[in-house]
Amino acid sequence: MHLNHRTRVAAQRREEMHLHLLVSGLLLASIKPIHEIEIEDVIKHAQVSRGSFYNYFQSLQALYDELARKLMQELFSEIEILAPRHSDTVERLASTIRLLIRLLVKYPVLGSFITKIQWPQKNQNWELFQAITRDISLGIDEGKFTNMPVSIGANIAIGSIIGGVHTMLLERFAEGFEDKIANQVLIGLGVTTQAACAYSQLQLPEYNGFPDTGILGKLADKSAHEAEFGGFQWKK
Amino acid sequence: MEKIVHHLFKEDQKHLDQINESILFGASELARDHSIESIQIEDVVIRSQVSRSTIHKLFITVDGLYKRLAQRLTNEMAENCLHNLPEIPDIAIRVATKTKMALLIADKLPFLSRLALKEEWPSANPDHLIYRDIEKDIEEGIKLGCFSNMPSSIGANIIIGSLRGAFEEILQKKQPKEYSNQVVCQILISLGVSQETACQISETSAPAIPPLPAEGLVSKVVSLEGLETKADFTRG
Repeated sequence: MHLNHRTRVAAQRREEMHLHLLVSGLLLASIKPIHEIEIEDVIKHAQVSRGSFYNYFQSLQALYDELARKLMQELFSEIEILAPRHSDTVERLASTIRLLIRLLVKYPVLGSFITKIQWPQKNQNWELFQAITRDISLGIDEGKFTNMPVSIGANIAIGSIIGGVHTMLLERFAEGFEDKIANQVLIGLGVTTQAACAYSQLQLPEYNGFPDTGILGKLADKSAHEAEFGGFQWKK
Repeated sequence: MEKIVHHLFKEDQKHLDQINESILFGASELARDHSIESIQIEDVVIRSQVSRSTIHKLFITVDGLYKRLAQRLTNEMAENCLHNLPEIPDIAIRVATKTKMALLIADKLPFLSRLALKEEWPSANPDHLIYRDIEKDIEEGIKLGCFSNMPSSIGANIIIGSLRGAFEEILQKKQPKEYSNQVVCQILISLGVSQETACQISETSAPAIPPLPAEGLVSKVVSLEGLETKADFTRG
């Protein structure tokens, strides 16, 4: 019983430190390019020893790979709650693109990271991008999108999301820019201009904030205390 | 082992440029034999015979070194291609021709393309010749009414995202003959060109492969491709 408790506490501490290092990597990536970040920067930011860092990650690359994978998984879960899988394929894809861009721009720490990770990469099995690819595949099977290799459609959608977030963070476009991106992506997938316009202007559910757990939970916790994590207001 | 020289004490700019070139080419050689992700700063030190601090001063990290290498290669390649491209008055045909030319290069020069894919994107760096050229074409297409009335960055992101994704697909496995036509066709549709016109343009536009530059880093990197002669490339 006593041992179980100690094992559980040790596992919790380990998970906590793992998340702490990931969040440090994320926050650093919001202030400089990932290729300019060194292990020393993470150690200093996280206030841990070099040995502690290597207890969790073999290299900085390993930290950023894990961060990207985990963040994509958490973002996927958030989007899935807002754009449920039972809805119409085209509507779901349009909603996913718009919601994701809104979320990433509202929280520049996340948006900045997504635009700095290397895309595409070999064996890049990120859940969020896989979900987008699945929807495009389904849309092709249902005859709602042009019959083309799925990857071509996925590249149009994912490239537009990454590039769009970058543009929005850089130039502070007014609300509605993400709708224009979704509109153009749908046209590229073979949806008629009229239908694409309608799909990209459907009412979207409001985002109620981050969950309590994971990287997003840690960020939500930090946002209450630190100025470095702040979303910007939409330009009116 | 020869003594490793600390080159930072040398003020001569020409000498520093030579060091820079030597490191970039050394990094290319390393990438031919190993995956870029596995290359450590020590490998670059040994290959280039410069000190660790010189590499750190010039590129900060190995990832930074490969980002710089990619930018040099894409800029040299773009300059060469644009210089050799005949004038194409029709904007949709021009975009199709340039896109197809890039896909052809990915197919014929996989090593160079693998390195080029490390280029930072999205990027706010105004020195990216390709990004500037794409955005210029999109603006012209919108102004002439050939493309949808959208912010030019959305069109540019569609092209760049599609191209990067297609590069990765081509580098991972041999694609069917019609693949590049399909990529170009979907890009044009995404930009607002009608399906019929997009298909027609993508099937008829056949860019000639430009002669490779005789000097510069591209020329040296191409020599590492494993082609017996440069004519292997131009023969297609």
